Formats: sequence, structure tokens, C-alpha cells
Amino acid sequence: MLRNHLKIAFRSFRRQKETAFINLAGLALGMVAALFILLWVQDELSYDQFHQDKDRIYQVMNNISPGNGEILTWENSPEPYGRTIKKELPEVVAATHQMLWGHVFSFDDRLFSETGYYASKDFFDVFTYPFLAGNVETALDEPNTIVISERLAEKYFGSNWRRTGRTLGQQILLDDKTEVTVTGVFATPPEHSSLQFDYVQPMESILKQYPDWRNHWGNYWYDLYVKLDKNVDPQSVNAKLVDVIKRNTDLGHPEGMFLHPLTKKYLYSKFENGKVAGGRIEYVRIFFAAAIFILLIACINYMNLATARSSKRSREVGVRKVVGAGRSSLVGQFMTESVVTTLLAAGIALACTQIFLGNFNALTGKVLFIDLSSFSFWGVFLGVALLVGLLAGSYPAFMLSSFKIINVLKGKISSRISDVNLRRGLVVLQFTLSILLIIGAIGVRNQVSYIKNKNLGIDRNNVVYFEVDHDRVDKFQVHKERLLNQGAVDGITMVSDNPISIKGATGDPKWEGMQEDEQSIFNVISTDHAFVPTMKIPMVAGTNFEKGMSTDTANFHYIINEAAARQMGYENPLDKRLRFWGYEGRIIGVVENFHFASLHTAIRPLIIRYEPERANRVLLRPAIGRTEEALADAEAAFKELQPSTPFSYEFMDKKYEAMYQGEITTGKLADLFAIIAIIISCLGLLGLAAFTAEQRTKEIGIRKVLGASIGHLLLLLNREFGLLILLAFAIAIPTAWYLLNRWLGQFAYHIEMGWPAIAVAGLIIVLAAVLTVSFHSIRTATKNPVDSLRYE
Amino acid sequence: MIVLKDIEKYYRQGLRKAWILNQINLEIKEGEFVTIMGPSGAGKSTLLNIIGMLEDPSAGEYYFYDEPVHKLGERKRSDLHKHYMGFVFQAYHLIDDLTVYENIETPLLYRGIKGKDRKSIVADILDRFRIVAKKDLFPDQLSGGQQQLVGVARAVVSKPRLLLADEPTGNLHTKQGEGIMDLFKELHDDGVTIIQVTHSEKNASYGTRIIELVDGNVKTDETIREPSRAIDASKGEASESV
Repeated sequence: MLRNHLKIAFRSFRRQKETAFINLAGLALGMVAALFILLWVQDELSYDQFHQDKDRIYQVMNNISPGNGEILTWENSPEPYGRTIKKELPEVVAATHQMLWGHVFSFDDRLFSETGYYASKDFFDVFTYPFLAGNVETALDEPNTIVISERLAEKYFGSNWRRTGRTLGQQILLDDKTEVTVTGVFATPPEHSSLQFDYVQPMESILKQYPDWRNHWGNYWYDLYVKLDKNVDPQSVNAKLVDVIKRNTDLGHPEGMFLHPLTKKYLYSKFENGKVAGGRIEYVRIFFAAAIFILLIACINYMNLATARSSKRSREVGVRKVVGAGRSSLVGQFMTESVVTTLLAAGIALACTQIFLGNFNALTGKVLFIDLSSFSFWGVFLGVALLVGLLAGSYPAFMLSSFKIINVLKGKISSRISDVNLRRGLVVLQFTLSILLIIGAIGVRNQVSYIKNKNLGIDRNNVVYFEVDHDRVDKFQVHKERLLNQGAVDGITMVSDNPISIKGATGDPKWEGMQEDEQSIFNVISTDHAFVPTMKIPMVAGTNFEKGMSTDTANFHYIINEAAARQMGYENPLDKRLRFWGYEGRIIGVVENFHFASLHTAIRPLIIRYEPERANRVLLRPAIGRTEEALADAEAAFKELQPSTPFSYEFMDKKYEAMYQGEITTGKLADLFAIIAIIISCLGLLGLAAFTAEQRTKEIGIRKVLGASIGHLLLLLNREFGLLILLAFAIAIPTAWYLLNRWLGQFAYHIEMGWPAIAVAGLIIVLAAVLTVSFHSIRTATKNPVDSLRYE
Repeated sequence: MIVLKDIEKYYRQGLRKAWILNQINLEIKEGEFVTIMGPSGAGKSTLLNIIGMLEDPSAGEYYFYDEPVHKLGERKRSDLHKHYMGFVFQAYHLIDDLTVYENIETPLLYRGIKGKDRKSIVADILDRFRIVAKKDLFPDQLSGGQQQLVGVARAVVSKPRLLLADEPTGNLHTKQGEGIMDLFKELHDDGVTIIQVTHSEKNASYGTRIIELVDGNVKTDETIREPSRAIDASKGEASESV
């Protein structure tokens, strides 16, 4: 019986080439899109799942209230928190605080910039990055030791480092000044680790260099992770955290603290009012929904074509019933047909996905691949294909098999009104989904271009960024002057942090007139006198720093932003005293708020302090048209200063775009999937239009004989689809509006979704649909009526 | 075999009923070859469809081998239909996507007959109807007469006790029609009960009994020949002229 069903299925493909093509193409295209999306989603979901104790690892988060009713969730903690929590709460079995810190490695006269952590001893107890060499228990015991990733071991000691034994005990020179001893090698963090690092050094090493950091309760600088005991409810720990901190310090403490699971770190990175409020998970959901939409659109194509053609198949159904077919065997037959179609389409889709996976990876910046040897892949793949087949085939199968024999054989079965209406409904649904995707894509695209072109209040264009060694900041001052005098450089300034992504922050500041229990977190950046003018940041009050200002611990100079002024409650902040980190000074100026962090968040209070010796990052603005020259000059100066370090620079605007890689990728993906959705919908429309045109051939012939013009006939043929698409529009617009605004809502700064986007989406859809439908209707309308009437 | 009691068929047209069949009482015995005649619109095909269980009567009782069909459920009815009846249509109604062989095989498939048995049964029929050479052709590659031959072959392949034919020669040339009628006669001689609807006096003369319908009523009902299996038919010339 199955063989018979299969035979019929293939013969009917051959007979109905156009329908078969539309079905296969639509389903295959839909499945390609779905496969891509599902691979992407699976990849997103697999972050940080490799840790042995993944369900017991949490990051400690601090909720801080800056006083304006808002609650900020800060993901870094002060240095003593970890050990305090571990000591006081038996539920916490391990705690590690850590800080990302880059170094220039020199070994065997080779130099590379590397990135890794300063971390406390529990690091390898909390996380699972297995040791390949060395003793995990003692590796980080002594200062000036380092454990490196397998990747670094191969890079510095050769791929056969295990056999040569020339690894443990080797000395590496960091930043041209500190010798460290390799005490271990760990497996390189996998792609799906949110923590990406190539070495770990004991926290003690950095504390020795900066003794005033030790035991500092106000510097919210360190990522703090804890591992709970088995079967401990994190909620119960959450409730105790703040009290533990309160008991141990008189300094300020967070309003609230909570544990954020490591396995959620990657996907849930956004917090509102002290609670998790999404993050990348939004994209995962959006794209997952898009995959289902697209598959649904493809299924609808199949259903519509199958039911539209039912009058052709109905006679066969009747005959089969007469010769003894039961309803179930007919349902089986039509289901077989749709399942065969979807399986064929799935095969095509799999091949296409394999071919284009490279392009997709380039687009998303991921390394996705299909594991064809994986049992579970085939399980899911065939499962989904089968499901799509059954879904697509179900309605036509039950509809066709329900025909009454006698009506069919008498030729009475044309299209029942309910079927026609259902078909119309499905077309409307299809186009609603397509329009949603298009408006969504346009909205995302507009927001991305808004981000790209956003005036941050700080001029990021045409700015070169590079770093010099902390120790050579002083020496670089001479070079600064020389670079300016050489003429290719318009401005040059040095800062302690990337000014469009300032990470440094403290809850330490005390300001004049501050309330007793008031505490607030301020971002902090150290710089020189040239920062404000070079970056073209407008001042609203006071004056800029001057060269050579005092940096006595009692006589510091600060410029704050408007947000900070409001935070401190100042009408006029000038000359007010400000004290933190053991330095006291006064505010000499106020700058306009500029964006120094992601546009997802509102602008926070910022303190800019005059402290050129801490500022090791160079921002250099080349004169117009002399960028090459400026870069060459800068490199020459750098080489003179640090002959043993490679000169590497970036442009600020590129750095900025990199911050929004997620959004930019989303924009591209949204475009891609919207286009696929339109193509599939139009394929379906093409099939339906062909069918309608064919069905109405006789009517058209008669109308022509009666004198109808071609224009009139085209209108007649296209009107119905036109109305359906209009209806789809009416449904899609408010839905798109709502969904898009929800997405935009996660940006503190975003576009307003205007009519133009809707209009563009409308134009695209209407154009695509009209072209599609006209392809057949023109053919029908221009046919010689004699031909069309003869065959009827 | 068949007993019809007060069978009625009507459609509602607004408040009025439009009668197609009116109080039909009939008994048809096994071995008969009944011809239903009458002008267009007399209800012939409807009566045939009701007997064939393709259509439900509006009222009345229908016994098939003493089974009250009017009381049976869909499934039971289609079982009866499947096991006892074969159909031949004016428009042949072959399945376009299937070859001659496959068209004939289809009823056996639905009766769940095993592959090997199916092969031999179909081979027998092909042989008997002398269409072995055509077995791999599709319906649109055959003439009307050949198509109807396949139609009859398909109708009888599962050895039905009752063969129902609705104007089986309506679309055929005289010569082709005679061939089909000869075949019917042969089948009748083999013991198959046949009910046919036709306009043709000549076709009617092959049968044993003629029922004339006019406006949904039985006008005449006469037996023109004793229904007997002993009727000697000139076997062998059945399908020559097809």
C-alpha cells in the first residue's frame, strides 16, 4: 500500500510540475531558514553548559540605588566580598573574584599581547577548565606565577610542549618588567564559554603592585563567582548576602544582592529594577519565532495549493472510494504525498544549508556546523521534517478524503465556500507574518543605523586608539608634544579607559553636602588636559583641566557630567569638594552628558579626574586627510618608547561598532529571513494565482468576447489578492508596532517607529504580490478567447 | 438479494420538496440482469446510486442480503459495498496517474489482498479481457472502448456478486458498446447479478428484466427472460469487437 502511495506521489509531481516546484522550493527554502535559525539558537543555548557544577555556579550581582528611585544592577563586586561571603555562609563552598587584565608577553624574543585574569585561588575549583599540566591545588599559591591555556602553551613552547617538558617552570616576561613562572597549563576555554581568557595569575600579584586596592570595600571592579553546596536553594542565599556585607563593613553596601546563574550569564545579561530582564534571550526567542513563522508560511503554501487543486484530485478520491478505499487509506495516501514532498524538500534544504553554512557563519560570526554523524541531529531534523509534512498534509488530506462520492462523480464538487474562505484566511495569515517580518527587519535596520550614526556627545569619528604600557605613560608625554608639532595630528589625549565604554566605577565617593546614608556608583576615568577638547565634548559649566595641574592627594581636580551633578544634588557643582580612593579635590567643570556605555542603558554619573599618570590609552585625532601620516608618526613614537612591543591600534568608530555586533548581526539576519519569508509567500501566491487564472479561463474568455479590455481583466484577476493583502496589512501593522516597540524598549536610546517604515514594507509586499499575481493573470487575460473557450 | 421498501429521495427547495424517487418498491434476486430505463431525469441514476450505497435515500427501507442497509453505519455500509459490489461508469473514471495494471489492482489493494495473490488475480483478468499488452499504458493512451474495458475489469477484479453500471456504453461507439455488453452477458452467465442504467433498447435486450422509471415512479416492470445460469451464451466472442 505504501509503495502504491509513493508511486502516486511521484507521478503526481511529474504531472503537476509547477505545483511540485512551488511546493518543493517553498518548503526547502523554509527549512533552510529554519535550519539556520535552529543551529544559531542551539549555539546560543549552549553557552557555559560545559562546567561540571554548572547548576551550582553563580555570579554575585549587586543592586545599587543611585537615589533617584532607579535600581542599577552592577555585575562587579569589591575585592573582599568573595572571601567574606565564603567565610560566613556555609552554603558557599567556593568563591572566586577575578579581573581581566591584558599583558604583553615576551618569551624567546617573541612578543604578543594576551588577555587573561587575575583571580583568586578558587578559580579552578569553581569553573571547569581542566589542568593538562601542573598541580591545580598549588599552581596559584605564589605571586608571580601564571597558568596558561593550551593555546598559549602551543604558541610559546611548540605543539609538542607535553613531550619536551619545556613548559612548567619556564619564565615569561610580562610588559617588559615582571618575570612570571609557568606553573600550569589548562585546556583552552571552549568557544561556548562566556569567560574567554588565555592565562590566570594569582590576584596577589596585582595587589602587590597596587597595595591600596587590597581589602578595598568601595571598588566595584571584580567579577565574583561562587559555587554553592549541593541542594542549596540560591534564593535562601540571596536573602543573606546583604547582611553578610553589612556585618563586615561600615562603608556603603549594595541595596540588594543576588546570585545570577552562570548558565544564564550569556543569555540574560540585562537587568531592570534589580531583576533579570532578558538580554540575548530576546533574540533567541525572536529568531525561534521567526523559524516557526517561516515554516508555517511554507506549510500554508502546501495546504493552499493542495486544497485549491482539490477539484482536480476529487475525481480520483471518488473513484477510489467506489472501488473500496476507506477514509483512512485516503488520508494515508495524501499524507504520504505531503510527507514525501517535505522529506524531499528537507533533503534539498540540508544540502543547501551545508553549502551556504560558510556564508551564514560569516554573517553571524559564529562557527556553526552540522554534525551529520550525530544521532540527535537526525532525530530532530527528520522529526521536524515529518512534523511539517504532517501539518502541511493534514488539512488537504482530511478535506479531500471527506468528499461525498456521489457529488464528486457528478462533478458537483467545485470549491466549497468554506474552503475558499479558509484558503483566503491562510493567505492573509501568510502575508501577515511576512509583513511582520519585513516591518521588523526595517525597524531593526533603522535602529542599527541609528546606533551607527548616533551622536554620542563625544566625537568618535577619525580617532585612533592604542595603548602604551602603564610604566611609560610619563615618558610618552614628550612624544605627545612631538606628534602635535609634526603636524599630522590635530589632537592627542590619554585616558585610563575606553571613553565610549568606561568600565571603571566606584561607590567610594563622598561629596560635599552628601547625606549620611547616601551612596552612589560613579564611573571614573582618569585623563589629561586634552581629553575634553580632543574628543569635542561640550562643557556646560566651569573650565577644562589645565596642563600641569596638581595631583596631590589633597588637591585633585575633577570634571563631572550632568548626571553626576544631578546625582550629587548640585545646582552649581563648581568648587564643591569631592573625595574618593583617598584623594580629595574639587570639581572645576561640568560636561554635557555623553554616551560612555551601551545605548541600552541611560547615561550614568561620571567623574573625570585629572591624573595623567594613570592614563595609558592614547586617543589621537589625525588632521583631515593625513591619517596615514599620523599613523606612521604614532608608530615611530611608540617604537621609540616600547621597542619590544608590537604597535597595534584601532579606530574608535570600529570599536564602537564592535560593541553593537549583536544588533548589527540581528539586523542582517532579520533582513535575510524577511526576504526568505517574502519569497516563500510569493511562491505560494504564484501557485494560487496560476490556479485561479486557470479556473477562470472560461470566464475570462467569455468576458473578452463580450468586449472586456485587458486592463479590466487584470483588475478583475488581481483584485481578490489585492484585498487579501490589504487585510493582512491591517492585521500586521498594529502587531508589528507592538512587537517592535517592545524590542526598541530595551534600548534607553532608540528610534521612533514611524510611518515611513510601514509604507516601505507595504510597498515591498504589494509590489512583490502584484508582480507575482500578474505573471499569470497577464497570460490569462491576453489569451485568445477562442482557444480558452474551445477546451471548456 | 435486494429488497427496496418505499424508497424515497427528495430535495428541499425552500418549503417544498422536489421528488426524485417516489415510493419505490422493488425486489431483485441473485442472478438477475436488470435494466433500468426511462427518460432523462426519471431518477434512474439516483436509484442505482442508492442501491450501490453511494447515496442515501431520504426515506424507506433497503435490505441487502437481509441486512437493513438503512440502519447500518457508514463503516458497515462501506464494507458491504466493498465486498459485494463493482461499479462501471459512463465516464470510465479511471485514475489518470495509474497504469492499466495499477487501476485494476487498486480494489484488491483496498481489500488487503497480498501482493502475490494480487499479481495472479490481475494477470488473470488482463488475460481474460485480452489487454495484457496494454497493462503498462496510462488511461489517456487508450481509446474510449479500451478505457471502459479497463473500467469493467476493475469493477469485476474483486469478484463482486453485484455489478452496477451507469450507462456503461454511453460514451462509446456502437461497436465498442456491443463489446462491453457481450462482456456483461458473459459475466452474468458466470453468475454475477447485474443492474444497469441505459437509454438503449438494444442494451436492455441483453438483460432478464426491464424496469421503466418515469418521474420517480416505477411505470413498468417486466421480466423478459428467465434469469438462469443455464442460459447458453456464445462464450468467447465477448471482447473481440472491443
